[in-house]
Amino acid sequence: MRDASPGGILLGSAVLFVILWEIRSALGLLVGVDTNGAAYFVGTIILVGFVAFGLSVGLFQVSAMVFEERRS
Amino acid sequence: MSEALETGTPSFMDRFPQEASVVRASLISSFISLFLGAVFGLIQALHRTDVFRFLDSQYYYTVLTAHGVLLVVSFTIFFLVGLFTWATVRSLDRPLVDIRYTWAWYGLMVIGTLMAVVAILGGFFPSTDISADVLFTFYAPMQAHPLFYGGLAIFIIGTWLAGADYFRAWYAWKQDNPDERIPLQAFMVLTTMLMWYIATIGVAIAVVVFLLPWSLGLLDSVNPLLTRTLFWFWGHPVVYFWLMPAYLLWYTVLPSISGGRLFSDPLARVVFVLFLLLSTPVGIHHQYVDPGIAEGFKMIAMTNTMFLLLPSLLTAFTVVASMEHGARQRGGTGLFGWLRALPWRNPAFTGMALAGLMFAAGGFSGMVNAGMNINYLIHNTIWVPGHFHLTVGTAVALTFMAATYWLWPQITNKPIFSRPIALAQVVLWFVGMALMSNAMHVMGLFGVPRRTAEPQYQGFDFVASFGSITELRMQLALGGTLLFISTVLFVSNIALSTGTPRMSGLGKQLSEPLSPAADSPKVLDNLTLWFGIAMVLVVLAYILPLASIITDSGIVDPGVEAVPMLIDAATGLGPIGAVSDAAGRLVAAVVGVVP
Repeated sequence: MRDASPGGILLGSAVLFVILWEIRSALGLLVGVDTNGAAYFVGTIILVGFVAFGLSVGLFQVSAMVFEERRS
Repeated sequence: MSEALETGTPSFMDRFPQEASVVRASLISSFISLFLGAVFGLIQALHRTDVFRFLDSQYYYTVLTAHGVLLVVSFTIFFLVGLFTWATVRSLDRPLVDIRYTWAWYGLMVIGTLMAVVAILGGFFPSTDISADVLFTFYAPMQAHPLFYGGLAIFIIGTWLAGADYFRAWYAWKQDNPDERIPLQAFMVLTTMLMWYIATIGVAIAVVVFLLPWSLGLLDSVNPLLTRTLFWFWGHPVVYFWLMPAYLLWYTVLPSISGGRLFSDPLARVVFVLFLLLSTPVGIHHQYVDPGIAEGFKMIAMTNTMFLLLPSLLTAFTVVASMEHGARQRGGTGLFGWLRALPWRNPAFTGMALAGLMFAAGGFSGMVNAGMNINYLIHNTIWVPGHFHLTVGTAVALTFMAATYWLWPQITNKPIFSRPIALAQVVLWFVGMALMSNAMHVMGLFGVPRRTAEPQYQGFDFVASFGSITELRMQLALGGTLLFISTVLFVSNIALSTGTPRMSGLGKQLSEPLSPAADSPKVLDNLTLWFGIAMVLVVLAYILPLASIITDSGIVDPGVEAVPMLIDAATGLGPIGAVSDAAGRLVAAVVGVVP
């Protein structure tokens, strides 16, 4: 096991944020659930921040994969 | 910059220094347009969301026209002619026939752009009587200054000559290699240019035969429906003129960056042939609500449009399969575990991969646009800009920016100034565009119109089925601001890269496909055949609608008065007034007087 790279955390956080934010639109448009925008935004930021922080300090770990790029 | 970036391979600049100069000039022209277009994009996003308005709303259409023309005409096409020059020379492994001719078409494109931009920016100076606030979709009866139409015509002639340059290079290569298959990149360039030649017939007739003489006063009137139909004859395939270079990068560069090989060369050729055949006979799907075109013709256009999904889906399959191959070569395993083995730290890869991901979303919203019945729900709403900011604004623009991080060192012999900034830039674009296009799509579903400086009306409120319109406006403004920051990071990174030390051995090899061209029938390379079929399809799709329009309302419509897009100096703000008004608003905003 190893820590995620900063680039991976950045990219993963961005994708997680986008997915969570799109879910809000889907909830509103498809299911009719009207979430509070400000609360949802803050909650999303907190969740993404927590995941990013957890990955950076090793709270969550990813399985080791050593690639050519990293060896260089 | 790590020495490990050196591969020992001679770069494109080492091998073809003259052509590298043309590619650099084209890319720099493209990036200047990108930056200026982004400035106008930010102004527009903050204005229509009422976050910050420092120009009077009467200038909104000047800003909107500049944003559209600079980005979707100038940024994209300058980049793609540079890319095509690189791809043609690289894949044929020979220089262009006459570099002076190459500089000539580049010069024409620059002159055309400058003419159009001067006409557009004239809108900020009402006293000059020069303006072109007609938007990228320059429909009659809105009328621009002749400089705008003349500039567009010269720009397009430049692209035609660029295409001829690529064909000359291929013809010379063919004399030396009569039995060889056309190299894949050259094949992609040539089919794209053939499609462009067909597509530009419409806009060339619209501009040269009708709009330019009309703006010069040589014609009293034009038929708006006819010129509008001719515009869309070009206006939809131009989307593929932007996209096909992105596809070229996804097919030929992305697999190598992934560490693997293209899954199938024949499939790539089939896709480009399908785009050549199907891109043009679809434009009427932009005119579903236009009176004067029979519903049956619209139905045919819708059917043709749906066929276009096929090459896009084939591309999704082939490109993802190639990436998976690369990931498994790098040690990736499992059903989805291979995704983690992709080179996500490489901004060129990450940018192109994210661009492809967002293109999938853009494809889905495009199917809504193309559906004749469901289109009525979102027609002329801000949903439509939401859609094309995913396609041209991300699939194309983000791919071009990401590819620059890979291509730039090879045409300059200088490494990129900062790869971490480059990675942050492509990720920021992804987040910014997700926010902005999401807000645009959702607001479109709520009926908020596009092309409107102040989309709020007295006594009427748009009803949001969740959240609020204000919240969506803020989301749009935030997304637009992030996109602007991303653009600044990109342009700054490239500008700073010009100051990095020159190195040798920055060339990169492209891997050979798993399934080579020899696996496909030679008929795929018969460009004359595909061009002929494409022309027949266009004639079948357009001859009856155009005949019907001309029969019903004539070549020119005497009842239509021109609407010159000139700001009335008596009622509008002069340039000094506009600047002082802007300064006043800026100060007010800073001190917090304006919320």
